[in-house]
Amino acid sequence: MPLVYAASASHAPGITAWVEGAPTEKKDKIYGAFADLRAGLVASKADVAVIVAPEHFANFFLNNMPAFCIGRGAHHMGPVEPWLRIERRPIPGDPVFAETLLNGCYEHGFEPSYSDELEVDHGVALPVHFLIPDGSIPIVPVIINCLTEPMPSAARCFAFGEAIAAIAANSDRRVAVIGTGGLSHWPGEAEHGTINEEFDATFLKDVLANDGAALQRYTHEQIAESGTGGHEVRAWIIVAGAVAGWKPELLTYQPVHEWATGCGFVHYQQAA
Amino acid sequence: MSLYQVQKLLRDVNRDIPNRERYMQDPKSFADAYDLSAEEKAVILGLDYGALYAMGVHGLILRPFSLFHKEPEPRYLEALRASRAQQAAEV
Repeated sequence: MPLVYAASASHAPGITAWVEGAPTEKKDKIYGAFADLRAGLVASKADVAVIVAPEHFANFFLNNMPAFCIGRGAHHMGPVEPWLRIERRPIPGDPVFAETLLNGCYEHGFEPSYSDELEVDHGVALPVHFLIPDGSIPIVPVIINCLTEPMPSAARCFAFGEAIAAIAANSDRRVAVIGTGGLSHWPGEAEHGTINEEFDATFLKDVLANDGAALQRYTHEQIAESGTGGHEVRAWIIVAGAVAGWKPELLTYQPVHEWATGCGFVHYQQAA
Repeated sequence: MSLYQVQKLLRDVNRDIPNRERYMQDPKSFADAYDLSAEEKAVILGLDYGALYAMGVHGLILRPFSLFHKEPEPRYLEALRASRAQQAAEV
């Protein structure tokens, strides 16, 4: 059946690891956004949540770096980071829908890699900590290469989102799709701490207009202006590809210098 | 020069607990298992984050590696920025 829920959210590790580091007002707005996302996800009665998240060298390295990878395991252990202040646990997976998604991708012009033993890092574990704390909705992680060049283009990401929506529509599951990552940040780099608020504002404007054509036109170089971590906005573009005609709503945007990240949160209302 | 081997060593330490324990016990012996030049080995064993950054080590490999050595963020960033400034001056 058609997708039942969609959202995009930042996953800055500081949100849980250094919660006391951020100004209370900003922290409260971000925690409030996560509460809103959780309420929307629960209300959608989703059977499964596809979590689209970037690779951070948790599963893959330069010996094998897939553009897209679907996690097909019965569970996904994580987070891998002991300092994240999130309990490491097996997050329930949905191998049956993961198989549906994988096979559907092949029918829609994508040949992602797949893994029956993904571990997840903050990119998946942090949003799941807030959105599905009780493990009541199984997840299917979709990991994207936003780390090393070449990376999938914006247009290709958008088309991947379209494929996810089409595959969900042909399944008997109530599917949610949640993209995580961005906005601008430079983790571990000399620019760490920089936030490109101008890029974030422009990108959010295009997301909030649900302007698929504009989102597909972003070049690698334009996205790079949002930092090495900003390449993660590809997850947002995938979600946008899945929700043509839906109405996006900005929950909050907070440039949190203490967490060195422009933090954005958007969910989508279904087309009437 | 093998940036791949340098990053491989660092990432192996970051992501694999038995590897990390072996590395922490005897970094030099651990490094001997990788195809590294003498300079690369010295930079890794000397925890020269600025030099590793100049070699091209990715921030998401370098910073986690430095965290296992309890490197404070200001000092880590200072090393990276000094390295970049030196590279710019040499161009």
